[in-house]
Order: sequence, then C-alpha cells, then structure tokens
Amino acid sequence: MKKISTTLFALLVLLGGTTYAQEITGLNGFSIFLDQGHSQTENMGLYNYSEAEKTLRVGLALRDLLLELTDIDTVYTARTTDSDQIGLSQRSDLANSLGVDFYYSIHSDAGGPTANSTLFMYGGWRENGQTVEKNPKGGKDFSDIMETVLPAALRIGSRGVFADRTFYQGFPTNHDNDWPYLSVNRRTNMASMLSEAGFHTNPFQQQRNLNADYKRLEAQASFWVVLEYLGVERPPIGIATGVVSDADNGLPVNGATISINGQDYVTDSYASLFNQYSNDPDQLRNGFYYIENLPEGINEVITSAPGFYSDTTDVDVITTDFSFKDIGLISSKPPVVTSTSPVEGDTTLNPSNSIVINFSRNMDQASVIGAFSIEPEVTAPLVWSGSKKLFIQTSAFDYETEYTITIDSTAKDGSVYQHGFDGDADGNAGGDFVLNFKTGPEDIAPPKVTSIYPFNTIVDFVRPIVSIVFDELVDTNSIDASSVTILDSSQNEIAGEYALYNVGEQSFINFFPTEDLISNADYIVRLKGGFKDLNGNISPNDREAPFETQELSAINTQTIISDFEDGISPWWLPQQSGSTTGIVTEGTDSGIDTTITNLLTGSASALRVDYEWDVSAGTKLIREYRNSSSPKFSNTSKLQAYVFGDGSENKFRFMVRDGSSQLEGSEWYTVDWLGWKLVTWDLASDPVVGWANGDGTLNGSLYFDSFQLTYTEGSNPSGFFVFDDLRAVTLLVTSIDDEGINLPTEITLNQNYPNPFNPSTNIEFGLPNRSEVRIELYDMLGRKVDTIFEGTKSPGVHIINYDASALASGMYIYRLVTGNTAISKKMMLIK
Amino acid sequence: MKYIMLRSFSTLALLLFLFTSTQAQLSVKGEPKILIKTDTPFQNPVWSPDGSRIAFTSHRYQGLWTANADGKQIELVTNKDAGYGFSWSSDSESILTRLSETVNRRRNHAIAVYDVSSKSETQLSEFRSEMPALPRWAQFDEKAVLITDAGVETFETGKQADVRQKAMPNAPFYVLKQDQIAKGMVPENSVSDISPFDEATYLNLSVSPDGQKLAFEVYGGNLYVMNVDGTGLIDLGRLNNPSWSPDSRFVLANSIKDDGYNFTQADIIASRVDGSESFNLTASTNLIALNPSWSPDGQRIAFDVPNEGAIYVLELIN
Repeated sequence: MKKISTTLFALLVLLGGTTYAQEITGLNGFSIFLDQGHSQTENMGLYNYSEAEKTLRVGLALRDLLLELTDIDTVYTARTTDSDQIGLSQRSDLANSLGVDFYYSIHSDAGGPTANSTLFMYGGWRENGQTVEKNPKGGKDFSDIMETVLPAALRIGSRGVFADRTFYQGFPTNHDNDWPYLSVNRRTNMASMLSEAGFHTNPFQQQRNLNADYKRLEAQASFWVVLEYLGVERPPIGIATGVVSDADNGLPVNGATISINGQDYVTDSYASLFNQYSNDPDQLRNGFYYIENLPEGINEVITSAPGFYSDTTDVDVITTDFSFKDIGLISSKPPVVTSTSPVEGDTTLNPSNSIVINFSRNMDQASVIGAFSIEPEVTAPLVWSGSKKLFIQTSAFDYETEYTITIDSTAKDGSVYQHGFDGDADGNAGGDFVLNFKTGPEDIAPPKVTSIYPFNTIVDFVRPIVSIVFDELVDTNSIDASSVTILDSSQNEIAGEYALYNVGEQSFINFFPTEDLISNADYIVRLKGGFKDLNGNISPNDREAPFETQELSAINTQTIISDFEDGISPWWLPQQSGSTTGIVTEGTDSGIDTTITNLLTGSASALRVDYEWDVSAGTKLIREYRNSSSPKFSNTSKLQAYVFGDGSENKFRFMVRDGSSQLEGSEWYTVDWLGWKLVTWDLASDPVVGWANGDGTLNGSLYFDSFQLTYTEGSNPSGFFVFDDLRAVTLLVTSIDDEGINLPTEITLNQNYPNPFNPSTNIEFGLPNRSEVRIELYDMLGRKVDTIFEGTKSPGVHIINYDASALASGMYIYRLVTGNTAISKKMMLIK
Repeated sequence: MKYIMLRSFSTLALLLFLFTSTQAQLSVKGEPKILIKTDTPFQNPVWSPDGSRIAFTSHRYQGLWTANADGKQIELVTNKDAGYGFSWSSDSESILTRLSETVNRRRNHAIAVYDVSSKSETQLSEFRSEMPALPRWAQFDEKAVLITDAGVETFETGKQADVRQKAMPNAPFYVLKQDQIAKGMVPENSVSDISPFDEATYLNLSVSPDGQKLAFEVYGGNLYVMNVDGTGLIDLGRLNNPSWSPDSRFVLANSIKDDGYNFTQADIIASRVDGSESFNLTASTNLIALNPSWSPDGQRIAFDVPNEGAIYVLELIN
C-alpha cells in the first residue's frame, strides 16, 4: 500500500521528466520519515534564503522520487509547505506513533564564509572505548552509504560519519551521557541519522542552493542512498550536470543555454531567479545545469550565452551516477581596464608606492608592454602579478609632477581569440587607455600625536591602560620600552609593558601598567621624543599628559566568563546565529587572535570579530553568541570586557540571559577609540535594554549570551573589534585612608554557590594577607579527584569558578589549604 | 482533590505562574528534586492509577521500567522496544503497549500486555509490518483496541472487569487514527470520527480521568481540549505532551523551544481546562522539563530532563 504524507493536502507534484522503464521493487514493507530540518525561514542563510526553505524542497523532491518510482509502502514528510511550524517534539512523536522504519533528518550547515562540507551523524556514543550505535541499528549504515554518495554528488568535501555524541563531545573512553546527542536520534525509536549537506553560509554553496534542480540533485543522491541501504540496485538514468563559467575569471555564467540530446537548460539569471534574493543584478550566479533522461554514451553539449563564444563539447553519459561536465565559456567582449590605483585625477601618489592596473581578463603580457607609455618619460619598470594585474614601479618619479600613462589599442588579451584591447571601455576593441595623476609633495613632517589617554582627566581604576594615537604610521624601530611611561609626582616610573599597533593608516601605542596607581595622586603620561614616520621624519620632542586619580578601585571578586586562553569553543561564528543580519559574509568572521591581546592580564589570546556591513540592508546586527549557560553571575555585579577598538564609531553591546530566560542588554557603546579599553556595564545601575523576549529588567542570576555589533550610519562599513578577559566583577576601593578597606581579618572559605550545581559552581574564600593557596577536591572516600586552584592570591575575597563537567554526580569535599590552615566544605554535583 | 489552589502566598513557597492573576494560584514547593537517576537514562514517567508505582522508559523508548513512588525499587519490566505510548491498566497491575522488532531494515509491530509484578509478557497480536496507531484499553480493560483502515480490531487482554464495572454501562474509547480523533465502542466495534478539524494530523491524545474531556495536539499547531462528544473546543496554545490533573480540571503540558537540533528550553505549564489561566510550574529552574505526569494523589508532578537522563519530581503545596 502506497501512501503519501498525511501532512500533504495538495496534489503531489509529479516529477519533471524523470522516466524509468518500470517500478523499482524491493522497498515493499518499508516506510521512511523525511524530516526537513527547521521550519519556515529558520536558520537564515545568505541572500535571505534559509536552511528551512532548502531542506523542505530537498525532502519533497526525495519523497516524490520514492513514491513515484518505487514500491515503497509509505513516505512521510515532516513539512510540506514553507508555512509549517513544527517543533522537534512533534516530529519525533509523529514518526514514533506511525511506527516508521527509518528517520532521515535533512539539514545544511552554518559557519564562516569559507567553510563548506558535508557531515553525517547517527545516534551513538562511547562506551568502554568503543563507539556504540543506538538500537535499532541502521543509522550508521545509512550514513556510511551517504558519505560515499552525497559529497560526490554535491562535489564538496566531507567531515565524515560520526556517532552524534562523538562529534559534539569527542572520543573519551566513556561518555557520561551514554545516549544519542541529537534529539532526532535520541527521541526516535527507529534507525535514524542526520545529514548536513553543505553550508548555507558559504556564498559558493548558497548560490547553488538557490537553484531548484540543485536540490533535486541532492534528493536524487539521497534516493540512491535509500536504495543501497535496502540492497536495491540503482535503476539506470542518464543525468548530465555541471557548471557553466567564464573561462577568464571562473565566475559562473547567468542565462547560459546548455543543449544536450534535444533538451535545453538555461542557467539561472537575475531575471529568472536572483531578483528574489538581491537588488544587485550582478551579485548572484551559479551557472548550474541539470539535464535528465539522457542516453548512455557520448552526447554532444552545445553551450551559448550572451557575451560569450558558443562552445561545443561532449559528455560521456553513464546511467548509474551523475555525469559531470563543467563548461568554460570564452567571453566575446574585448578586454578592458577594470580598476587602477591611483585612480584617474589623483594628486597624492607617493613615489614609494607602485601604480596598479587591473585588467578584466588575462592579457598577452608582451603586447601590453609594447602598448605602454608614460609622459613625461621616466624609468617605470613593469611587473606582472599573473596576467591580469600590472604593477608599475614609481621610485624614479618626481614629487609634485603630473604624469600620464597610456596603453594603446595594440594590446591584446591572452585568449585563443587574441581580442584587441578596449582601451576606452566603449564595448568595442580599440581606443587608448589613459590614466592621469599627480605625485604628491615629499613628506617632511614628523608624525603628530593626535590624542593621549589619560590626559587632564580623573582616573578611577588602579591600572588604567594608556593610549597614544598618531596621525600616521610610525616606524616600529623608533619606539621601544622606554618610549612611553607613567611618572608619579616624584618622577618615579610606573612599571609596565607597551604595544604598538597599526590599523589602517594610523599607529597607536597602548601602555599597560604592571603596578597599581594610588588614590588621590598626580601622574604624567610621558612619550619620549625620537619616534619617526615611515619616511624617516623624526619628532624630537617629548609629549607629556598630566592626569590625577581619585578613590581608585580594584577587583574584589571576579567570575571569569571567557579569557580565551583555551580557545573559543563555546563561541559561535557570527553567521551561526540566526539573529545575525545585514552583513557581507565574506568580510565577517570571528576567531582567536594571538597578536592583539590584553597585556594587562598577561593574555596570550583574545576573541577577534571581523565585520563587514551590507550598508544597503535594513537591519544590521552581528550576534557573537557564547553557547554556554555557565558561569552564572549576579545581577548586582559589573560586567567587564577589554575591547580593542578600531575607531570606526560602529557599536557593540553586552547581552545576557537572566533567570527568567529573557535577553537583556547594555546600551550600545560607540567604538570611537583605537586600541584597548576597559568597558564596564554596571548591572546594578546602568541602563538595561530588553532584546527579543527581554523586558529591560535583570531577574535572578545571569549568564552571558553574546557580544552584539551594529553599524553606525556613515561610519566605516568594515573593520574589527577584539574582546578579551570577559568577566563579572565586584570592585573594592583601594585607598588606604582612615576608613581603611574591608579586607578579611581571617582566612575564610564560604559555601560554594550554586549548590547543588551542574556543571559549574563558584568557590569564594577570603585572605587577610597575600598567600600561597591551594584548593583541592576529594570524593567521599577521601580520594583526591582534582586540584581546583593553586597559586598566589592577594589579600581580599576571591571567587574561583570550577567546572565539574568531567566528574560524576555525587557529594564532594573541597579543601582550601594556605600556610598551616586548612578548611573543608562539601559540595553536591548533580548531573 | 489533593492539588492545592492557594489564595495566600506562603513565604516558603516559590510562586510560579505565567500570567499575573488575582485568582487562586497553583504553587510548587521549592525546586524540583531528582526522583530517579541511574547509569541508564530514563524518560516519560507515568504514574500508575493507584499512585503506588511509576512507569518509565529509556532513550529512544527502549525498555520499560517501574519504580516505587519514592523512586526506589526500580524494576525492569522488559528491555524490548516497548516504551512509546504505553498505558497503565486501571488496576495498576498491567501495562499495554506496542512492541517492535527489526528484521531486514524493517520494523514489525505487535500489541502486548505486561504484568508489572511478574514481568510476564502476553503478546496480543502477531507482528505486522504496518501498525501506524497505538493500542488502547477498552471495556474495563478486558479488551485492547487498535484502529486500522478496516475499522476497530479488538484483542482479549485476559483481564476481568469486576462486579461493579460489569454493572456499569460500557464506556467508549478514544484513539487517534493520525488524521482522525475516533470514538469507538466495543463489543459493537463501531467507530465515529469526532475530529474538530477537517484537515489536520493529531498527536498525543489524552483522555481526562473523569472521561469527559480530550486533550490533544494538532501537528504543526496548538494543544486543544474538547468534550468527548467533539464540542466545546478550547485552544490552550502552543503546548505539547498533554496529561491531566487527577480531578480533570487542569491539563499539564510542555512549552518547548528548540534550535532544530536539541531542546533549548522546556517548561511545565498547567492550564485550566477552560483555558482561562495557565501556570508555569518550572519558571524558577533552567531544567529542560519534559513529559509531565501528575500523581493521582495530586501532590507531585513527575517529569524527565533529557540532557540528564533523570526523572525529577515537583512537589505541590498542600
């Protein structure tokens, strides 16, 4: 008995032209649930096309293949329309209640703009050193087959086949949770698996995903997987597929017509498809074609496209797999200059910089050199980078002199057609290319200091980061450890470290004190003279910037949220969050930065977020999400991060999730600074702004959700921020005055909180003096299971956050040892 | 009626509710506590009608276990693929379920009854390649019924109605036929469609303890309550996994959020059967609280936490 999905109310869309001699047998008595991942437009990918929209269509195409071509009993689909909103709970409940034989969950992946691969996960975990598959088995077999079929069909790589818990939690001898990781594997009582077919955040992949037949290609490959899983031979069918691209630049060609054995296929174009996803007629292209029902053997392929020479080749069609044939078309347009540096009319060319001329395609180098001239005559060596980019060296050029470069019409391209050069870019071969520009004056001015912080201001933190900004790039050799310092009123130097950074066309210095300033005192930031610009112009004079301190604060207690020293594993890429929008994905990324770090804390790595905004987009937001609900921190503490700014005036904010699971954020901070700066959100007194489900109040304990970035109208649309030492702190006034400071009078160890806990908890202790401290953890049999902390701590109250993910549930004893004192308390881990 | 509706706030109570209300509130006593946690992950707890035992299954609905109401004396009833959609007999002595076994990549299904004390299995039907429905008790548990395309199929369970039950008129049974909510009668083997919507797929049908109401999910839609004659439809919103309070005045269900791969949040919501008020009973905890079951004495709610593989219990204020 053949049924279609009970969620299908429209007439079944029959296959477009796929024909088989007879029904494929061997699927009788088999039923499958096709779970198209996500709903509506969830997991939005590039070009406003979502994972949910793609997987819906892949699933429906696979359903049609199975129902129309085989004797399968039943095919159910989780969704049939873009409007269906189905949660995980109902998907598995429906499949379970129907008693289907196999559950196939169809997904695509998200990540950075260059990531693109397939992945296959069945339900499984590690037990006694072995990887175990859930019962009923079959998901691994299905995955193994799919890994041989789908990556080859999509022509992208594979990250492999994994038991789902091993993919997410590695390969220990035993997993603590010995059951499948993914809901679709854990909650289904039949064999199951999940596939990730490429990345919808990868421009190359996503432009293909937009094509309707590319999704049918994925479905066709999955169809073959189902057959092989059931031991059924593939029925013969000839399918030719591939990509038509511009031979000059490799870009796919829109609107190309491919003709094979009497069938024509026209590749997608702006008019036919891409206008739904972009306002830019030139942004999107995939060149994809897919022609079915071809006879086995050699078939002639004729390809034509406006602006290209027609191409005739052939494809050897096999009938047991896809027959791939990519076609490179040669443009019939003459070559032109696409860009130059300097641009026409520029008057500031520095003779130390080369001139760059970019051509639209590979050129015949000899003909270009022969066609090149410059007035007035000057020695100008020509250097090629490939055959499309020409460098003209200018070291012999004079200052403040007008020059004209000409490439005449005798230049030719490097194709077999030897097109004549279209120098005047009128669309026809012929005409000279002319570039007029003027060199600038010789740089004889030394670098200027445009700002110093702190300067004529009051500082309230014991270790302020000094920032000195120059108006141009500075020779790194002219700055050393003695160049910048803080002096107290007795002209004693405050010890510290410095770092010189270059961002764009500016240099700046940060100085990180390694000893505390004192309250109510006068200081001076001093920059020694002798620093030079890149042309050797020296600034001989010292610069001094006075400032004073008030009652200074130091950290009393702190909960480290992320110091990024062990990587950024809980942090997602910007594109992984569905909230991220209005970006140019190729210019947006996040990752570890080991060169720009907060020296104030001795940091060796930090989190860098590169951004590029699509300024034409309505909403612009990057959610740099931290996927962890620990550690928790109080809604009366201060949330702090060191932020390395690019001076762009774009913005960032903190976002937390509170005890009501609501998202609450700080106000936006305009990043108008260069270099490192400590940014503090006082959770008790600063404004709170609700986001998504938030209401502008911080209820209960909090955990960190994300750094969020947005665009400031008119500011630079691209740049980067670096974040380091994200923490929640309480502060302590450090002045030693009549009031004194509230230091502990004895060694204390407080009850951990939360308790019971899972998986992390905070251990708070107090020290009256600077001391060597060790905190150890024992089980109830007295066996030491971990050392929680070992090191030196200053006087005051300290909090150590401890992650017990590696431990089993149960009661433990934590023991603080310092000098001759030892204090123990119990804690309860409940997993 | 043992569950409590308070008019005054206790200082010891954690008052948890979705909507501000001047009416009586449902209140829970403190934080949820672990009832059952072993090396085997458990889920889907269901109290026996007499409240003495609790039945549950493991991940992917493999196996059936029972434990005392205090979570102790855990006993394996069967390790077969029998844990999806099971139901207790009214005498709390047996569990009716659908078994599965896999042969040649295909699953075959059969109906079985387990004696909870002896763990003995009585297979009521042969294994079949298709059984897209779950069995239900009928005729005072003397029969199990299965709805098929052909109509109602009945099976003798071996249980005997007591004298009191035999004196009562026979009660209808209610089952899902995926695109139908069906009301059936045995021994007539009649069946009628009482579905409230023409085009819908239904899930997780639950009959109120007083036999007067049905709670059910619409696939891709909301949770509803209606009278057993198909009238009085009430929309309770986007909720899942319905079960009932012992006095039939509340529907217990889940409010679930997921990211397409796993549940990210799940709370237990108690909704008045008329839809007038709802209470979030797990607002104070970050636990992913699924599959709630209200104890027959009204004092406790059991649920599972999938990422821990544990069964928890919430105590209600008495």
